[in-house]
Amino acid sequence: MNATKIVRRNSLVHWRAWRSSFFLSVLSPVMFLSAMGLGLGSLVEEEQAFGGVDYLAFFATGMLAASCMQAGAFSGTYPVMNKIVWQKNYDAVLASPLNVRDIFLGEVSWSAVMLTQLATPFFMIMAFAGIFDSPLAILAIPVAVLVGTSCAAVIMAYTATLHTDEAYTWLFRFVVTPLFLLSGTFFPIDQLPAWGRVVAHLTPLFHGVELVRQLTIYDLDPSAIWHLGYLVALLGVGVVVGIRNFERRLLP
Amino acid sequence: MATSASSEPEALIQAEGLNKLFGELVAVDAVDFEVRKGEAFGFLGPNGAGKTSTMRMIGCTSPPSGGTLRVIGMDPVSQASEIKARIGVVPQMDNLDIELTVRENLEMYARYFDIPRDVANPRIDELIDFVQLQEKVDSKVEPLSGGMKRRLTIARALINDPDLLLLDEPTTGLDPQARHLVWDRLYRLKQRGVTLVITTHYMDEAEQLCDRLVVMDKAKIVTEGSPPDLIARYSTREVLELRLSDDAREKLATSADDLADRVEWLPDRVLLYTETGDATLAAIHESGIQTYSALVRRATLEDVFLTITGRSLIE
Amino acid sequence: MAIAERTKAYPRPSLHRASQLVYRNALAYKHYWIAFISGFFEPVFYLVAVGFGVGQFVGGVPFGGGQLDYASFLAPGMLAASTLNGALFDGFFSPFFKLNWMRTYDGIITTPVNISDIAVGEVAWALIRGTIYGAGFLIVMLVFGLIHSPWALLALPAVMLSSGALSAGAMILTGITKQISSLEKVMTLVVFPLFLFSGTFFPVSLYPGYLRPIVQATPLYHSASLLRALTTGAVGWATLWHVVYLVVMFVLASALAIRLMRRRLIS
Repeated sequence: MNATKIVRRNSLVHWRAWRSSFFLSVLSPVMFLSAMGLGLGSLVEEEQAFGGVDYLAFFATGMLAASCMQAGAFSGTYPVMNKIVWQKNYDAVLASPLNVRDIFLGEVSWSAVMLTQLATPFFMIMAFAGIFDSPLAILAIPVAVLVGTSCAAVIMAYTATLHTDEAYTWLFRFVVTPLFLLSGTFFPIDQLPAWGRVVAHLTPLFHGVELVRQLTIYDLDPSAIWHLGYLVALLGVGVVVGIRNFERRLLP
Repeated sequence: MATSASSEPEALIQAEGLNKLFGELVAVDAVDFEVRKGEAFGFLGPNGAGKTSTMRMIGCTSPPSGGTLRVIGMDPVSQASEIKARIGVVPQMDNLDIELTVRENLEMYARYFDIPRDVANPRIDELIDFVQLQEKVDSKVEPLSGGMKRRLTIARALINDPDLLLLDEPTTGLDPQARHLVWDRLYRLKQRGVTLVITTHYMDEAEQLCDRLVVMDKAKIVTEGSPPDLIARYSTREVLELRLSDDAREKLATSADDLADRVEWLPDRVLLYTETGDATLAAIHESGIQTYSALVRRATLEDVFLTITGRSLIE
Repeated sequence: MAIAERTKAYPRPSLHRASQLVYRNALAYKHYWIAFISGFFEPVFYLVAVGFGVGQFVGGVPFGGGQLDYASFLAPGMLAASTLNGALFDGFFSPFFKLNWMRTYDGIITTPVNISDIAVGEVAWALIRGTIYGAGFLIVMLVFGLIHSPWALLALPAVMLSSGALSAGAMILTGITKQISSLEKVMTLVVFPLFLFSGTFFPVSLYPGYLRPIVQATPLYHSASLLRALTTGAVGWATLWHVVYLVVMFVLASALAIRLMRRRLIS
């Protein structure tokens, strides 16, 4: 599979920066977790609103999916624009036997690798803190990675249509941040007004958060299929549209 | 720029024993030079010779470590703002403001120089015409070609109608058309009486533009003069370039010193420095030496430069 | 050594020259106005999601001897955090790129504008932008009923003070960083902990005793506490300490930032 070559190139380039960057990327969600879960969580009084678990458990499980979404979304922006617009690395890659499909699938796989390295330690910290004990919980890692990867694919597809990075400012401020704050990570979406709940059901993060929580702190219920279906479908759409957009952009 | 106070010296820049140290490293080592009003003065030298450090000291963005330096009769450390108000700087690397348009770049520099708007606006129009960027006035800087960016940088350096223009390698990295356009504009500025100080490692550029130049090597000034002067001093009038078979090379080796003032043996050619190349070539043919090819050319600054600083690669 | 003595006579900043930097930034934002507007919304999103979304499950926050509803507690914290965000952007990210990437400052110092003018201009711009955002956020607080005292009239000058102090601090970071990877390090190791742990989201009284003095030494703690005192009306002599801290920080950080920038630009 040629796409693995793109993964290998990225991992080579990033390896040196990786160790420190890896530490930093795990540190941020952990800090967020302690501030919200322990700090703010200690002020929360009505635990029944969070399905009978304490706020730390509720928030931490949501945060696993949310931080993967943010990291995945980011990996589809500047790093990819850099290779399309600024450094034009892909033009050089295309001079080799690799084709556009390999490039796109390679980038998406690279995101998945990176997200796995983010989700795994995060998961282990939660397990260590005794937030869950079901063996099924381990499946939360691939689910969180799936959330991030599908966001990465969709945003990479979008990046292929851009010429400058100006759009990213509003993408993060008006899409990623509200999604992060309002898709059930911080509080259950039944607190939202009716239209807000409808919107939340359309977002990948909501489905990711729900699925992660069912696997870790709640009981698995049949809606899991629907949540998983949504995420897989989003990844599929992202990949198909992404390959098409990359072809239009790189082979005009 | 024509109005000069009587107190103003004829020499716009005077340096005596000027030094620049970066820790242990001696970037500029006790150089003396003088730039006169209205001339185009060049600093020639390989990379790392100390040209840019000297330029930055003149431009008041790098304090000298020792010696004296006067720029337009003033002290570049204590009177930096006064000096800067009267000079224009074209740096080696473009540092245009890429968040602004072409016109806004010039507008901002007019503001940094505190030029009133009613003076600045017509001047900006005039400068945009001068550097031929009329079509790009409202374009952002990023998509401009290298030559356009350079011209905009030159226009920017002229926004304060400077007495003295400092150009650090003004055409490095440009294609031939763009270089010639820049040379043409600089020549016109000289005609208008602007004093130019140019660093370059292009000999043709120095020959084209400079009335007088110094050659710098290893932080020191090694020689000084006008281009024809230096050619007369360090070279002959003409150079004969020969390509020969190995046999012919050996034959020539025995007699070459009698045929030319100086001979240089390169792996692919032999250079004979001589007053009349044709006569030398005739003499070689008479002595029965066969040549693959022979070229008689006028000696250039490049010959001078290579004679002085040597042919080995300096990194 | 005559030259060494003369180099000490650095030119003083001039407000007029510094204002040209402010103009330059305003001109640049004409092209990036979306970024300008959008910066305002981030703290509002946090206020809505955390203050109201999570806040309704919080009975009350122990504050000033009584209880305060969570949104009223969080809002001044987010206001302080927005001054941190703005300071970081205008005092660090943007100058970082101008210094190391676009080399804008190398060009500017060839004009009569000097390095102290640049530093003062950038901080002034950060202060102006922080004030605009702060004023907007205070209106949002008013609309949501999160302002409980006429002391809040002083919140805007307090926002300006906080913006100034934090931007001057951010300029120090500009003076000491060169690598692009420093941006991420600064975000994760400095900004993020400040944002989360400076008494912004939950009161300092929740920390174990040995951690409290550390939190109380941070600038954002003083900024958040000052703003919270003003919007809730719990003003006392202690409030003055926060003002003193921020004023001292502004003065010292500005002086240090100019020194560091000079070292980077003049060699």
